[in-house]
Amino acid sequence: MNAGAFSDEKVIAAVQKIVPVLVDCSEKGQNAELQQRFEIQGYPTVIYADAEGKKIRKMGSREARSIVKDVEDLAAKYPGRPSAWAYSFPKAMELGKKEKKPIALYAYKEGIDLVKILRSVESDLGELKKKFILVPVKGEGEGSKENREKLGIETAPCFIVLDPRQDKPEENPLARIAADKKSVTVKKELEGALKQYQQKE
Amino acid sequence: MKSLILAVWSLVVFTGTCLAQEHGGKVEWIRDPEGGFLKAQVEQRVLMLYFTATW
Repeated sequence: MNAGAFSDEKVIAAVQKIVPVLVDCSEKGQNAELQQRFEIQGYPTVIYADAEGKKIRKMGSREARSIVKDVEDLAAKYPGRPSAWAYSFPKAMELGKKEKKPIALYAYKEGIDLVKILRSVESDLGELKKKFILVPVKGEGEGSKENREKLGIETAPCFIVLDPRQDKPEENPLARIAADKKSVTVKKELEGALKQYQQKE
Repeated sequence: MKSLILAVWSLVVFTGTCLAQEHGGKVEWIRDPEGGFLKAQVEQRVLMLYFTATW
């Protein structure tokens, strides 16, 4: 791979229009399913995939100019839409501290149409969503045990509001709000949690 | 002596460049594939999947 292409300013700027994911395969069996799915035979390998995760093609030339063109062409074809969600807890913490906002974890149930639900939640929250860093976490079903224990989730869906200024915010949440109520009630409770956060400034 | 210093310096630069490249340069990579795929789906954006290994 052309040394430095991913440190090129124009590449970095272009890549912000798509979703760059680093798939670490350092440990034996790490991300094995993804490696198999995309037929990875060596490292590094870069694959472009569509929003549903279907392979578009493998990256061709590794020159910065070529990468920028590839990415710009794909971003023009798939322009995307903005979203209020952060996609990992560490990232949410980083954003919460930087933007001075509380974190609203949305604990979801397994087996739902998550994309549809997240868009619906965003729509229901309206302008209030801008006052929080939203992040989805699995709250029920396979793979949710760690989240349930760490965050004290009893039932999903629910919101858990955290203060990122604390060292271990999950140990002392600002609020736990059942999300299967009318949106006006949920919003009111989120506003209450927001006030608590602001009063601690 | 000069050529030795030059050789060592070249090796340092080359190694540093390779390491930077191995770790994906300065792009702000999402390091959680599940989160990345979800983000792409919700935002209807293209994914760039950088498969790498460091040994």
